[in-house]
Amino acid sequence: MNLSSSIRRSPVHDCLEELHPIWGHIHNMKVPLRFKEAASEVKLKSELSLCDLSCLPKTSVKGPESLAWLADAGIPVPENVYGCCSLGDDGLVIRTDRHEVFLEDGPASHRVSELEHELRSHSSGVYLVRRQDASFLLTGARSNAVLRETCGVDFSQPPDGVVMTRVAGASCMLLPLQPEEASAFRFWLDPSYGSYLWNALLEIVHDQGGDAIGLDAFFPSFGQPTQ
Amino acid sequence: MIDRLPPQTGEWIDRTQKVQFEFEGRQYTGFAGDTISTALRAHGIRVLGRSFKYHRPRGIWSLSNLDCNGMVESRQETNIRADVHPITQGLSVKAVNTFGGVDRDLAAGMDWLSPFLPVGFYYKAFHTPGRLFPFYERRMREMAGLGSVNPKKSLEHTPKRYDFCDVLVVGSGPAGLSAAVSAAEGGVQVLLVEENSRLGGSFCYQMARDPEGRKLHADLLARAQSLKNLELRTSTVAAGYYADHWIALIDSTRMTKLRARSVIIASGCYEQPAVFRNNDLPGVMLASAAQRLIHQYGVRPFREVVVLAANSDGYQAALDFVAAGVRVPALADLRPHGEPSPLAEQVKAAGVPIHNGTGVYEAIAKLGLRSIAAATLAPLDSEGRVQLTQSFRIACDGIAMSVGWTPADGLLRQGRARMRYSRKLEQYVPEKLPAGLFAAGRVNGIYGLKEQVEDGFCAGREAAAHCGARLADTTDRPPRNGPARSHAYPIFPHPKGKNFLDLDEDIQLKDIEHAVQEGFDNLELLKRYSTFGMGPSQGKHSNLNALRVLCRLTNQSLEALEMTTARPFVNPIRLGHLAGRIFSPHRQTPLHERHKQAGASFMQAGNWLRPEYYTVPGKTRQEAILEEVTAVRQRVGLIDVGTLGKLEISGTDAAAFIERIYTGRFAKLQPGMTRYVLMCEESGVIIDDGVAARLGPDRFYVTTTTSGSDAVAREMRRWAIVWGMKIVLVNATGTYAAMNLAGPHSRRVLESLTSLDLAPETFPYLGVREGEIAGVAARVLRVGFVGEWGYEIHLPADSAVWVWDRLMEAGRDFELQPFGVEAQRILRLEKGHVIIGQDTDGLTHPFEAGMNWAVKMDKPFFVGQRSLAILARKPLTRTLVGFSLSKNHTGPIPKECHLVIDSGEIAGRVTSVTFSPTLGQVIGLAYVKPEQSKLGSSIEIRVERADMIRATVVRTPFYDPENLRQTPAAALQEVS
Repeated sequence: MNLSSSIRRSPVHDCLEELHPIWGHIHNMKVPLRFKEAASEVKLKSELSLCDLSCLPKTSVKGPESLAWLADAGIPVPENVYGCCSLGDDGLVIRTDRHEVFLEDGPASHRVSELEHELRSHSSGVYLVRRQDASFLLTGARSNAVLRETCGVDFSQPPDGVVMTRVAGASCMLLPLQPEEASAFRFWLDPSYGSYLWNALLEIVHDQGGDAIGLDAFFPSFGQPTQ
Repeated sequence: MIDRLPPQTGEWIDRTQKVQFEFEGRQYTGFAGDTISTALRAHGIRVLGRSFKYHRPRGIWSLSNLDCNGMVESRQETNIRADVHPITQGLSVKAVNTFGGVDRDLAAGMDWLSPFLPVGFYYKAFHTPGRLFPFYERRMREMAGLGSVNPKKSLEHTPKRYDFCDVLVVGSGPAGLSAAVSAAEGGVQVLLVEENSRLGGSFCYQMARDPEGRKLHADLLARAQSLKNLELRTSTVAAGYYADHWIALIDSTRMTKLRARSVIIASGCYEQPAVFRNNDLPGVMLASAAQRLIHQYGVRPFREVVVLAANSDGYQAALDFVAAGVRVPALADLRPHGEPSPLAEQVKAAGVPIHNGTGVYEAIAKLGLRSIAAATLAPLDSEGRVQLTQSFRIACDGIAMSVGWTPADGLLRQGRARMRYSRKLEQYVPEKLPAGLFAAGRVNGIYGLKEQVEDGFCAGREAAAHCGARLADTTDRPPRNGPARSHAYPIFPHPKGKNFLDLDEDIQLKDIEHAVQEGFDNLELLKRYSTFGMGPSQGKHSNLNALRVLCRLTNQSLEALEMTTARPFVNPIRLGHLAGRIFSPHRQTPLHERHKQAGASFMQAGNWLRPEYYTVPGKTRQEAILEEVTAVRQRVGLIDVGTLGKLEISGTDAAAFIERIYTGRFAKLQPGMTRYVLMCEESGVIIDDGVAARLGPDRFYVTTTTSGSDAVAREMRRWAIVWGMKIVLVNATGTYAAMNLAGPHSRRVLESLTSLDLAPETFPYLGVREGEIAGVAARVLRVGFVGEWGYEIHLPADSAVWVWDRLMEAGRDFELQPFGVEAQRILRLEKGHVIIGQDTDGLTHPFEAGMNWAVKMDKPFFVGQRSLAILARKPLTRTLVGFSLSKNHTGPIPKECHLVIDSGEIAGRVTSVTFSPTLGQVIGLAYVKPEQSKLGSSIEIRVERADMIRATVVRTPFYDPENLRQTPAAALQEVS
């Protein structure tokens, strides 16, 4: 693929460009595969790192018939509001309200676009909510220290599912991925705040001795490097 | 170090580590652990600073942040509290508020001028003659204030941090340590904070020689340190108490925003002074300060001291002084019967003469006021008045006061505890505490070592139980037993004054008396007029005595008096701690970088950054903006309108919902069409506007103003619930980008990128279509905010740059030009379009804004209809009109908010105004009286320097009033 013609851009594309990554593409979006040597990034991943995952396609389905429709489509839905489960292939399903479900594909799956296509021909009671969230992944043993500077939620008491909160003043949906260790967190937020939050978090990550890393550290087989 | 004592058990200094520092240009040596004040005192330095108003010499007085006698500054920092700030190698400080140094302060003469500087003098002087006020102001600014700010100081980051615990304990004295251990042993997470560098509180200075006290201190400390669920933090101040047990903790590097589930305040008490003449001079200090000097820092506070006591603490202090080798020629006890405990005998046995029922009338100063030479004592009559005829003088270089305490209850009050004055104890005690807040120890009115420990134990258990710990029932709290540790009125008038109530502000006893005489006899007024309690110590050493004086003068009782409000912070904190790492969320559209690359000059629009205009080399701002306007009128322009609010409303009740929310009619709006929407609140005031596009029978896509999206979405959700309507509402503001392609060539640019049929017959003005633009699914609205043929394109944010770039490429042959907010404002004004929030205010209703056409009063219902029905029956008091200046106008041009004047009275104001390049003249909108709104009327507008200019009321739109620019025939014609 000619990366210059990628139609989709991350909300923080310009911030990433300043860091001079090795580019690849996932889901028709230009993505940073690496900023440094692979070994350094793997080390950072366990210590303290920030990664942009905005490329992963996402959508929400909402409405009184939404749960039934998803069940018919074979999509597992968590029982509790704010609960989370796997969509398969590194995808996620998060129940964000009584009748609203957020879905995100992994790097290799296309379930979101399939569902969107199926929904176009559906009748009432189920509504598609387009999602363009900026999405980040904060990982490492010191990741909770970054949150301690930016978020008033106590992650030493691991929540059950996602938390709707503010991080550095920006409203976010936040999911601890490894609640017991408090060492990996996903963020989703309005894309118009994406650059602000990326820069705010990266500054703190740098202060704490971490850095930005690319998608290769998490999905090594998926990104195609630039020509 | 002439006043350094031999090593003291439990001292806080490390004599193996010497530290060099500088004060007022001279080098000194102290030990690690010394504060600036203690290290200087060890060298015999008594004068640490100069008082605020009178520049009197001041020295150690409380040594615990109750006063600001020792305020110093370094090159990096100002207003450093010398009493508590540790010395570090190479530290260089000097006293604040001096002219020429602390020893030779040129402003010392202010003390002699004090009769001319009574309370509130600045309210009565310096206003005449008025021409001298700038002179007075400059002099006042030079004299007032304390430290100075160094603007070249290097930047330090002090990022804040969140933290959490089950139980927070404030204070590590007997009650605090006991409470922390007790709560932690109950199984909950406990954090104990102590403002000093060592744990122990009064253990460290009042009980330092008491074997029982020392053992208990060691035991509690060992238990505390062994508990894994108890964290101990020293040098940390709990500075503010906010809702839901949110506490601001301040240490040297940061503010920690702590959320606790319950809080125990065991912060002890502040020792209170007696008020007598020269009670502020170096050598006069609180007894606890002297004890701290001895036990914590190994410094002899005096050679010979007179102790003024009204409780057993004073007797204990006397014994400490004797043990430290200080001569005590007298102990004056304010109480007629003296001390009932065995301490009295111990003091006598130590050779200290005790004078019961006796007070200190005056401290006799040495020349220069830099120290005292003697104390004048006198017996008191049954009313507590001094019997001067029987006074006697005792030579001394110090007076130690131990006449009472007031609870350190700032945090309790901030936490909404209700306090009451206890006559039994002569202090305030907690009467009612909110859930989750507990008090223990002396702040709770509990004295006696055993009782304090027991009180802390109980508080710890209660706090742990509040957090859900299952514990066996505790015993009852110990009672608040007397005798009172505080004298009811340790205040002695003197004809020559200089008996200070508030050292920070140099407030004497007569200042309070005079203020009350002048009518400021209410606590709030007295405080603000006299400024007692308003200095850096915030009344810690002065509030109680000032209240006592006020009550005596106004015949009130302390029990009945309502205290002033306690607000954060308990101690002053650095502004840098408050600033922390500044988080200032702002929003950007996905096209932000493209705007930067095109030379945009950005402006703030709410919390968005938007291009104000695009800079052009060699052109001024105004020229660049006018060029953008001309490009849109004559060719084609492209503007990023992604900041518009965008709401998707779907569901079986969607149409009915829209019909109720907005003032217009939408039930019969066909899918594929749009309509202007106007939103009012229930009072009929306009709050927002936009465009509603009907995408399907049950699907609407609605825009709002940039600043209104969140509020409108919230309001819509609320109404949906109130009305029980079946809709799905999504705030898609950030999800979609939006751009407006406008101008005579806009259609030709767009049709090269889409298969949508753009023919006006199939895609009329105000239509909406869903299709693809440059391969991206989009919604295209034919709207005319800027008054030209145009398309507003809404598409997923992640594809915005792609589509923008394709449009720019496609528009190259037509000289497509991006335009910014300023150009858009001119363009819309030329069309007479109103901007909500600029051309409307918090009271504007549609009828006075000329928007009757948007309001369908005959609908069954819409929000605000009822109020508008009432307003429609009333005559208008103002109306929004268009105006223009003559094309030949020279001279000043009106600005927004300039007033319209009629017969010398305000008749209205200008809301929007600009030079129109299209029309070649200044145009604008203004509110005027209804009788001025006739077309052709002349109105007067007052501009700068009260000049008046004439304008003419004209019809709007100013440009293309017949809307011909939206007809196909006009699409490619330039403006004539």
